[in-house]
Parts: sequence; C-alpha cells; structure tokens
Amino acid sequence: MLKSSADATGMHEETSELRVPLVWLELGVGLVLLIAAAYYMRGAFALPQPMNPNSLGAGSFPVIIASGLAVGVLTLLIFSVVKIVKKSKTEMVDVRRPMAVVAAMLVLLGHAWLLETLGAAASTAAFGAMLMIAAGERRPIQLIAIPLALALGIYLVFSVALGVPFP
Amino acid sequence: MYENLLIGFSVFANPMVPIGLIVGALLGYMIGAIPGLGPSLGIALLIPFTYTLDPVVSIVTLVALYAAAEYGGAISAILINSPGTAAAVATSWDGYPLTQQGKAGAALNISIISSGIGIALSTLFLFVTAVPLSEFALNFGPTAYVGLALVGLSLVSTFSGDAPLKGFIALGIGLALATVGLDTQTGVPRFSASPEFFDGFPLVPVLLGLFALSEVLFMIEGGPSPKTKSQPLSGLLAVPLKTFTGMKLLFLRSSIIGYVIGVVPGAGASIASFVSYGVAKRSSKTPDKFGKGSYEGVAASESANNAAVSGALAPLLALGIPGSPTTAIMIGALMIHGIQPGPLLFTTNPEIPYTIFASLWLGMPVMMLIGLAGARFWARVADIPRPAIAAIVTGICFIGAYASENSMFPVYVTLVFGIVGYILRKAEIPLAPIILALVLGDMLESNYRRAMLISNGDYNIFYNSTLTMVLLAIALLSFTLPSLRKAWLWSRKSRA
Repeated sequence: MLKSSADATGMHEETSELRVPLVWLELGVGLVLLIAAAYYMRGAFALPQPMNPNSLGAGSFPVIIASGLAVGVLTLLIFSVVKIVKKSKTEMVDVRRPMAVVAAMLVLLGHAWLLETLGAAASTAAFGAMLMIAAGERRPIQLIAIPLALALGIYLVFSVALGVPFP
Repeated sequence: MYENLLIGFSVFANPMVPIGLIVGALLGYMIGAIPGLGPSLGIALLIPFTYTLDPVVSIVTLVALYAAAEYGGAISAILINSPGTAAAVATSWDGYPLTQQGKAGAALNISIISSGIGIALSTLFLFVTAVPLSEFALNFGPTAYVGLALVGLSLVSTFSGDAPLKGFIALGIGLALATVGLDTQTGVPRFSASPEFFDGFPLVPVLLGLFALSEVLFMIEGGPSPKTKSQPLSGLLAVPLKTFTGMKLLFLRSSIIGYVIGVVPGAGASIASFVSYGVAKRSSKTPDKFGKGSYEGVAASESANNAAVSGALAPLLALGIPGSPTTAIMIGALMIHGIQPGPLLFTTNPEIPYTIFASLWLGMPVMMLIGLAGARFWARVADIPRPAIAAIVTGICFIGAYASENSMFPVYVTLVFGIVGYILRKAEIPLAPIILALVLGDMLESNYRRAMLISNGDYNIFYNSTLTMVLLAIALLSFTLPSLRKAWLWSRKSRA
C-alpha cells in the first residue's frame, strides 16, 4: 500500500505502511540478543581470575548478568515460538512511512560519518535539510531557513557562548 | 539543615544561577508544550549544553526544565486535547472541555497556578523528609547498598507496563552495558574492543541515542504534523481569587498525593495525577462536572503531577536511586558533573541538594509568570512543524555527543543507540530500564563484590542485616508482583 499526496501547505504526506506481527519482531530481536548474550558470556568467562581467592573476579558479575539475560531472552523466544506454532492472535507492529524511516537512518548515518569532514555547521545544515525532506517537508523556505538557523544557533550556543570546540 | 538552606538560597546571588533557572523554565515550557516531547527527552537534550557550566548552575537549569516541562504539558492538553506529557492526560479531561466552552484562558490560569502550588507544597515535604532519610542512609553498609540498588532496579516492573519479561531483558541489557570498560576493582579491561571503551559506555551519548534520536525516527514515521486550530485565550487573568481559596483543601490533598506517589520509585507523575483526579472527584460537591469542564479536575491533576516532581527527587537525592525515568537521566547529568547522588551528597556537596530546594521554591513564581505571560506563545509552540523538530533534535544530539568528549566516538555511540532504541521500542522493549541499570549497575556490582570480600564469599552476610533483608524483600516483591498479577489475570481469563 503506497499512497502519496501533498497538502495545501506544501507538506508531503506519504501514507505507506508496513505491518509486521509483533511475535516475529520479538523472535528476531530475541535471536540477536541471545547471540549477544552468548558472546558476552564467553567474554566474561575469558576474564582473568582474581589474585585474592576470597574476592570475586572481574568476570563473576558479568557471568550472573549474562545468565539472567540468556534466561530472559530464551523465555521470550519460547513464548514467541509457541505463539507462532499455535497460530495465536498477535498484535501487529505498524511502521508508517517505512521508506522515509530507512532514508532517515541513512541520513543519520551520513551525518555522523561526515560530521568531522564537513564540519559541524555545514553537516548540520545539509543533513538537517535532508532529514526534513525525509520527514515530509517540501516548502523551500522552510527547507533552507530552518537548517541554516539551526546551524547558526548551534554554532552560537556551543562554540561562542559555551566555548565547546567544533569538529 | 537551615544553615545549609541559606547556602542554597545564597547561590542565587551569582547571576548565572537565576539566568539558568529562567532558561531552564523557558525550555521546559517549550518541551512540555510540544506533544511527544517530555521532560526525559528535554533533560537528555539539555545535558550537552551544561558541560562547561558550573555544576550548581547546571543542576538549577535541569531542575527548572524538569518542573517547567510538567507545567507546560498542560498547555497542549487544554488547548488542543493533545497532552504534551503523559502526566497531563488527566488535565485534558476537563481542560479541553473548558476550551470548547470558551474558557481556555481560565483553564490555563488554573493549571499554571495549581502547578505552582503543587511544587511549593511538595518542596516543603521534600525538604522535611529527604534530609532525615539521607542521614538514616549514611549507616548503610555494602549489603544494604546491594539491597537498595536492587530496589531501584526492581522499578523495572513498573517501567515495563504489562510486559515485565521485556523490562527484565532491558534491565539485563543495561547491566551488561554497565560492565563495559576497566573493572574498577582490578583494572582489567572488560568487553572493550578498543581503548575508547575503557571508560565504559559514555552516558550522555547513550541517553541522547536511546531517548532523543530514536524519537526522531518516530517523528519521521509520523510525517508532517497537521496545523492545529488556534484557540482564543480570553479570561486568562480573569479568574477570581475565591476560585483558588475555595480549593485550599484540594491543593493540599493533591500535593500530598502527588508527593507520596512521586516518592514511590516507578510510580511517577501520571499515576499521581490520575489518583489525585479520582480522589478530587469523589470528594467534590459537584462530581458531575468532572469530565465536562471542572476547574477542580484541572487543579487536582496539575497540582499532583507537579508535586510528583519533588517526590521523585527524594529517593534521588537521599538514596541515589531514581524515582522515575526522568530522574534516572538526572542522575546521569549529576554524575557528568562529578556529583554522586545519595546520602553522602548532603555532607560532601550540601550546596547541591539545598540549591535544588531553593530553586524549586524560587522557581515557582518565575514559572507562573512565564506561563501566564507567555500563554499565547506556548499555545503556538505546538504548531512547530514536526520535520523542523526532528532536524533540531538530531543536530543537538550529534553536536552534543561530540562535545561530550571532543571526539567522534560518542557520535557513533549516539547513532547506534538511536537505531537500536527505535528497534527495541518497536519490539515493545522499554528503554527506561536500560538507563536505570546503566546508572545503578556499578553501585550494585561494586557493593556486591565488597560484601563478598568482607564475608569471604559467604552469602549469609545478606541475611544477617534486618535492613538488607527488608530491602531485598521489597525488591523481590516489586520484581515479582506484576508478573504474578499478570499470570493470575491470564489464568482467570483462560478459565472464563
């Protein structure tokens, strides 16, 4: 489902929507977390034992956390699998404007990546405008004025008033 | 105690402190008035601006923002039936009907004055209770601190709504993140792929990513916001004094309710406003007016949700455990300035807690003035286009993260946690327990290991102290009750 329109004010309204069963999302996130917990536990066991036999080593507390996290995630995975197998009624997760969300993630990635290369002011203005486009803004004056004002504001507050050095 | 309070008031002689108060109040109103943004996000965004400020100025600014955001949440609730914060939902039940009746100005006036009264009374309760509580907590040993940290972490069950398992998983994620970096007792690097990780995950970039950048992605999903219909604000200053004097008891009762609920870790301002609203309706001579435009309804909700701000500060200042997601972030802000909240704070840095008391009192008239004088402006703030807010929040996030260490590493941390936070929120895994665990993780681990060292690895050390046993029992109940309740409801439902 993908519809697109622009209202009288120039705001661009994309109305596409991605619907994912919550249980599948839980399964995916749970699997990633389980792998992370296993990796974390392996790292915890690899930490050196303490010199003092009466004290707890650097890995003792992380082992407890990893165990608890693994139990929690496994429980979530079991519940999810049972729901899928039983074909139970499940909530749906709506991701509205999915293409815009992916575009925004790429803009954020670009902003972080090029922050040092372009400098704070230029990257804030350029990627701010791109993010506004991803958010549906189409009015040229807004797209030019707001990012420029933002870059100027950030420069004045951080660099001039607070003395924070800029990239 | 009273000498220290004078110190708290005397810091306002430094012109930067009142300026910080006014700036914090202005920003708080703005954040509160924009639906979708709240005090947690506001404080996370403000932290980077405080790096180079004096700690006292920073704390006053942050506290003013926190309180004013709760004030400001009522504005959009009353004018456009879209509460700026969750705590203002009950305000909209009567505030918006009043707007529909052409009494928007009166509703705003009552909400602002009630907020101020709630803050003033609850700060008095905070002053009277937090100091003795911190003195009592000075006697805590490592086992009691383990119990206290577990009580703090058990808030996870209240932060997690009806999904305690997901809250527990979020807690595990936060505790795991808290162990990254050099081990404080042995100096061994843990889970550190590169030297940047030796100091652990930087708190501000994690906060900015989880709370602010993930919210930006939700704003992108929401698309451009429709323009709201502006409402006339006639009668803003025409509320007779007798309207307020007639609600004396309501103010006192709502402030007590708000403060007590605010103190209970995890309960928070929204529950305070709901409970206070319900009690006010039951005690009212005109309960049938509630929900249709009752001044009492607006006053009960607003005085309670603002009183909860002082309440949530009590466990933070006296015990070092946060009473709400916002105060969890506030703990992070204090730690960035080298201040460790908890019982020792009242002896090592007395100017901090007493300045907070003073700023809440002195801030009350300032916030009421800003609220009333700027009502027309705050009403327009909700019209700022969502794409512009997304760009502003992102700009502050990245530059703020960079400024925290003058390096790119925190910027990448912010980016990663922003995207991870978005995915976790989509999977309905709450983010507040992650921050809570990140803040309390070190307190739990270091005291647990210290207790084990003292007892030569004997766990009986935890059973030998009554205080520790009480704290552990509270933590256990707090952890398990929501799950047991959910299981009980589920079994009843399946039997029916």
